[in-house]
Amino acid sequence: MSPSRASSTRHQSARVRRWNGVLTALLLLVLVFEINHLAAQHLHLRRDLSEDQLYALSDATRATLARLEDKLLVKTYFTGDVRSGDVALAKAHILAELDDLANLGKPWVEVVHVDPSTSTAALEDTRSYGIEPQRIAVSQGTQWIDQPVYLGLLLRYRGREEVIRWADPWGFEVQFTSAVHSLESEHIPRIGWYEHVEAKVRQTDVGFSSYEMARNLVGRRAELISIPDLRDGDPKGLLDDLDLLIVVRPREEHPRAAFELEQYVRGGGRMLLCVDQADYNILLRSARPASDGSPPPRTLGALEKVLYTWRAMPSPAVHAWDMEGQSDFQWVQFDDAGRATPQPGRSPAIISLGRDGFNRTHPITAGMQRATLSWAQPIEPGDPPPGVRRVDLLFTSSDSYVDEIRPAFAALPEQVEAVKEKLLAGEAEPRMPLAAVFTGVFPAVFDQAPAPFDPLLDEKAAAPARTCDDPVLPEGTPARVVLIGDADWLRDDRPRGLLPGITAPGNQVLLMNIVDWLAQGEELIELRNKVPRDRSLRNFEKEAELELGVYQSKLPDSDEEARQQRELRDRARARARREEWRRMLFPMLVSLGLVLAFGLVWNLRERGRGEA
Amino acid sequence: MSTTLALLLRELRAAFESPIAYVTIGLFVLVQGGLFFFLGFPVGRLPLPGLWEGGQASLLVLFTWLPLLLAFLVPALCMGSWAEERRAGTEELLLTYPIRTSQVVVAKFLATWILVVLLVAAAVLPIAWTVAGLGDLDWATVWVGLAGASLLSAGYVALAQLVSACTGEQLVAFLLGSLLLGLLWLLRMLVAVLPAGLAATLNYACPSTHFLESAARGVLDARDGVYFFTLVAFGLTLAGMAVESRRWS
Repeated sequence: MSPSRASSTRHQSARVRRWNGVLTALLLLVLVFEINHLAAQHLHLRRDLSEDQLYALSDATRATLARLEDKLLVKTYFTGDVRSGDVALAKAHILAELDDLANLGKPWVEVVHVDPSTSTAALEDTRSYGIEPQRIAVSQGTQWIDQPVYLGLLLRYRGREEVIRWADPWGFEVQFTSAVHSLESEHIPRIGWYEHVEAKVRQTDVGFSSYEMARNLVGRRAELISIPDLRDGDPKGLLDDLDLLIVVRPREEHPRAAFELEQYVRGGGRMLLCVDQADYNILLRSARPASDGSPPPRTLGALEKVLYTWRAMPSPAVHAWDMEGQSDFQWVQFDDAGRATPQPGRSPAIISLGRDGFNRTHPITAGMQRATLSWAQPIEPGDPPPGVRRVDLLFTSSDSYVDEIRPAFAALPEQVEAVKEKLLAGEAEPRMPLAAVFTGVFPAVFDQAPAPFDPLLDEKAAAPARTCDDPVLPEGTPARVVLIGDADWLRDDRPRGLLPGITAPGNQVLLMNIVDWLAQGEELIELRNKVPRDRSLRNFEKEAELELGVYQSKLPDSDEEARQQRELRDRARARARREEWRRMLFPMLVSLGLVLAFGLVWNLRERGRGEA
Repeated sequence: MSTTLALLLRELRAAFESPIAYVTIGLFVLVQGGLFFFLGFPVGRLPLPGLWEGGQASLLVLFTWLPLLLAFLVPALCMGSWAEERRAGTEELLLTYPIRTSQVVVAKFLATWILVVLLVAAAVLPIAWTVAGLGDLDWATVWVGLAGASLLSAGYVALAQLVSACTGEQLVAFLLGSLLLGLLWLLRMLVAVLPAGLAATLNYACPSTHFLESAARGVLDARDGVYFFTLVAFGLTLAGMAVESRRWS
């Protein structure tokens, strides 16, 4: 073979090898893709080993699906070709979770996928079930895409239907299990909602918000009945068939209304009572005056007598300040032109409850991590009457104080500081209960039924009650009452984001846990407990302040004392920063030290071996 | 087996003698600690605060940075695996020995992988102990996260070995390796602006997805195991082919 031919053959074989390599690489890529595709479709081995178990199906879900005795049809109304990458991934996440749930519910769960964007019949279905698309706008390159996307589900079981209008990828298990739970239960709970009539009339006042979001939340899984003013009694018998009555911000209640509420509980009723003598307007930074113009605190009227007899009294005319649990809010500053600007604020009167703020032994709060109350009234300590058991649910921290309810609340940082300093100079309270559960047979309050309100006499709530011949329950039946010394936690977040209301972290969970414990059973509470545990870090600044006695000193009497207090605070801050730096440098130095020590030992040994 | 073990020890010895390893490890520890304590993870749609700002005893921020940091660290540790052998002319010598190419490839892969796993453990565990002293740290998440990080490292090392096997210069191997792993990391960030079908596929193809959405949160998923196993097999097979092609050229 001539050298030129040999070289040509070598070049050819090199080219062939190169092409072989490229083809093999492509084939390998296809193989890898196919193996992963199959694994994604069929391999469902997944185990959540974390303590919080956020990514595992809960026992409540397993129990709920295990109770199925008939076919559960799950129809997904998902848009097939979702253009937004984000929503497409969310959809994939929901479908993967639905697969897991269907596997768990075998053989009863049947899943059918329908795309409303390609089928007219499916589109009609979505309309009839109230499944609305959400418009998802996304920019892709130079294109701006605005697409209506459906992510709704219909669940049908034994002729009954439940609809999930928009599946939440991060809360889908809760949505799904709640819907199945509701389909399984034969009875749809009837929940009454009773607000003071004045609050309803004036709920459109600037800065005061209503409770629509909380009502909608409760109404999702129950028949919600608005209870009208009870001062004329309950002629329609609305209270008779209720599974639960929610009483929000009662005040100046007529004796007849208090009687109706008391009789409802005596008859074995279940009640959530949110009492609040302060009703602050976050925009105007003032309290709403009473109808007769008197400043707060507002009285509960005849209801006070009922609560007193039950030994279930919010501390009158005071609210709690929790220095440790102080929370953020926004207050509004008006400029000369009358323009409102939201300003960030932080106040110990707006109390963020952490892990230690909950009773860990009661089902309602066992798994709770957070909740926020505003200007909450402590529940007076004391033994309940015979036959009634009291369990406290929510607590302030041990660094708490009480302050009087004022016509205007402290919003400006300097105002908050001034009140804080005044309180700190006084005696700190032990942990104060802000909510309590009362169970048992409640003692009778009324010997005779008060007569309903008579407009001709224009009775005041506190006026001596006239009585009538209406019957009074002679015997009590075991009942449950949850009393909370705050109603702001149920408020809508309007004006938007100013005050932590029902949308504050944990508040919706607290409401639904109470509702489930009172009205439906406790299984769903466990499902809702799937929230990350509070793992707050040590607060070095706080520790240093306590150590240096920043809070223990009395109010400064002179400029010199004030300067000394400021210096103490600065020292505490500096000490905290030093401690933080020490903690940060430690792991890095340990890592570097380990690596260097290893390197040194290794190289010395190798050198010794080489010399030998 | 004994040949592979001998080669593995030779590679480990070479790695521990090299100052590059110590400099890289030192930088990695300092950068990782700084990012974790101060910066948090300000990238993407859901930015995470630093440890002090967030105030929660969790290593999620640390794990979130890991895929990006390893995208630079692993190529730095792998760049010499093949490229340096070729430059120094020892590759030819190595390949004339009566050993299979696959044994050399596997030994080099295992040596770098062990090095990276030790390094990640040495960097993460002291931080975990510190955080555990500051709050209620979930140790199960830490251990699962470390297991996931070792799988992620395996995938990265296999790809970096492939790049190193295909190039003749250490610097080129490092730059190409970092570029490749950096692009794979970036895929996850592009999901929001990509069309849905492509987004789902690329999201699945991204190694950090298989770490951050499961192991970094304390979840073990068999699909991630399959993914990383196939990624390693893919990288090492091609690396072996690249080396083999030079043996016969």
